[in-house]
Amino acid sequence: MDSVFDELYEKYHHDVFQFIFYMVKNREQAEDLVQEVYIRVLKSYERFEGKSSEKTWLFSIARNVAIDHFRKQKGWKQKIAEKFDWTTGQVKDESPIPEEIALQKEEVGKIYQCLDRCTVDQRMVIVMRYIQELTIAETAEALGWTESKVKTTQHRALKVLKKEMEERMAKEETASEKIRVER
Amino acid sequence: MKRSEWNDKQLEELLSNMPKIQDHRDPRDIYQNITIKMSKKKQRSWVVPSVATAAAILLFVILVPNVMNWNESTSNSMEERSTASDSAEQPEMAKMTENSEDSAGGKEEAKIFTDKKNDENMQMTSIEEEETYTALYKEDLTDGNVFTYAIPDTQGQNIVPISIVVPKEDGKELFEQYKEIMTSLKEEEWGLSEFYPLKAELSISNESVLNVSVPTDHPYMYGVPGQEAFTETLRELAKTLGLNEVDLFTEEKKGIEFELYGNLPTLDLSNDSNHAYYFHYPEKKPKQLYLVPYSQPYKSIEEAFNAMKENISLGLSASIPQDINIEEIKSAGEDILNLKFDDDSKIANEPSFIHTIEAILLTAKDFDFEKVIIQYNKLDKIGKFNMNEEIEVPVAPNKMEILN
Repeated sequence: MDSVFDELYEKYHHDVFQFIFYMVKNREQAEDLVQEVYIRVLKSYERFEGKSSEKTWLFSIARNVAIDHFRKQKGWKQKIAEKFDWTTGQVKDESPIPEEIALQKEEVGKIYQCLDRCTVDQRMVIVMRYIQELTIAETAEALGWTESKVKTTQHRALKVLKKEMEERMAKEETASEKIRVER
Repeated sequence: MKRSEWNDKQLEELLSNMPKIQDHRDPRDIYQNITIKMSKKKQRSWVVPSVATAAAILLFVILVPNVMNWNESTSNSMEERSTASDSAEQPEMAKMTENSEDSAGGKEEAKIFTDKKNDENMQMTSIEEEETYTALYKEDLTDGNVFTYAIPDTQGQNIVPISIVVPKEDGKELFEQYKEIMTSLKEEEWGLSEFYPLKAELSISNESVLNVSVPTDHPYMYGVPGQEAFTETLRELAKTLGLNEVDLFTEEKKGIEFELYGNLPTLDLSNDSNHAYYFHYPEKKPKQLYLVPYSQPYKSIEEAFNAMKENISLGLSASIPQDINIEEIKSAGEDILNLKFDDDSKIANEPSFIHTIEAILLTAKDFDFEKVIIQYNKLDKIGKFNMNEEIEVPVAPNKMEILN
């Protein structure tokens, strides 16, 4: 095997796969996209001059691949948007929860679904900052942003998640209360 | 347990507890998939053109003698015929022998032939004066208006501003001309992605407000570059037409929904400047150079010039070489920027340096300078730019022509 591929696989494969998975929430698509990341990386590896860290460079490519994917998928995304029921603030048809997440406690599954309500930018920041545990500086470098943009995006994303989580929880509570009253 | 209240800390904790998702495939399988994909991509890029070239040569070889014969039968003079056929065939013959010598290396003749042709083309363009300058300058603009359209690149990473000069037409409104040009832009031919005409109705009300109406299923809701190009183009249009408000509608309803910006009822027209220009070579047309502003603004022009020595992720490459040292950046007058290339800077009178000067001028323009003086002791001129004298900043970036 190619030594560059070998090295990158060893060091970063799981991080990159994870990032892409949480961006697209679909295992097959993530598998395809991660291959696309390698193709772009291997094509431009000679041009990588070590000015940024290898890790953030790889993430910046992964980000571009993910963005491209969303670009191509806009028809599909729009379909999902149409399914969104504006009166109840609920997405009717959500992407299925993978096994790994279904095994976790309930809140994890909920927040996984709430991620859909963030913009692409916000989701990228959330995934990089909390799931990949990149620092603000690393996230900024990978996204080609300033640190302050990362901070404000992160802040807005948490606000979106907070609101969503609270709405879901509140609804569940009223639902369970109803059941109790009916009894 | 009642937990309808959430704070940031709890959310952060929950997020970092998200399970690690593993890719269960064998790395060897992944590597194999990649190599298959990469070789497919490569194959596609040369098989078709070389087969086509081979077929073209074959046709040529068959047809040329026939055409000559036909000439022969119509012409009466024997002598005339032989000179005509000689002069037509000889250069071709010379080329063929050249090629067959090369193909002794075992490569396909057709491929070498195409490569050769490409090389020739490349030399041609680097010699041609006109092609060297990417931007539009005052002297190019005898009597016309300029429209700048924002077009996304094919990788969805950058927005390329493309400027078109349109001759002034009497009795025709600028706005009408703008809409007309929008339908004849050749994005794909330019190596960019298909974007125009906008799927929106544009109209002007009260002579100062641009109204933009999109259908409910408008294509600008998702996709980062699409959203950016859409809003950027409208901002640019408002500027060109001297309008001071852009109102957005979805059919009759006020506001357009964007994934990036949320629901926007109007566009912010406040001056969005201080960008640096980088080199961008489209993936689909790698020989075409565009000078493209990076979306992130810089605090000062010094910072911008420093940043321009570095590549930006994918798609934007450094527009100032590492070994050009810019010192003494100061504003000479209010609108004049004065800078100096260090004597150790390695600069020659070549196209690539002309492009560097263009990038510097366009960046200066974005920082609201009108003229730039570049002090450099070792050269009087780089292309048409005089060193140590005032140079006017370009009118607009990336001039393109639409030939109908």
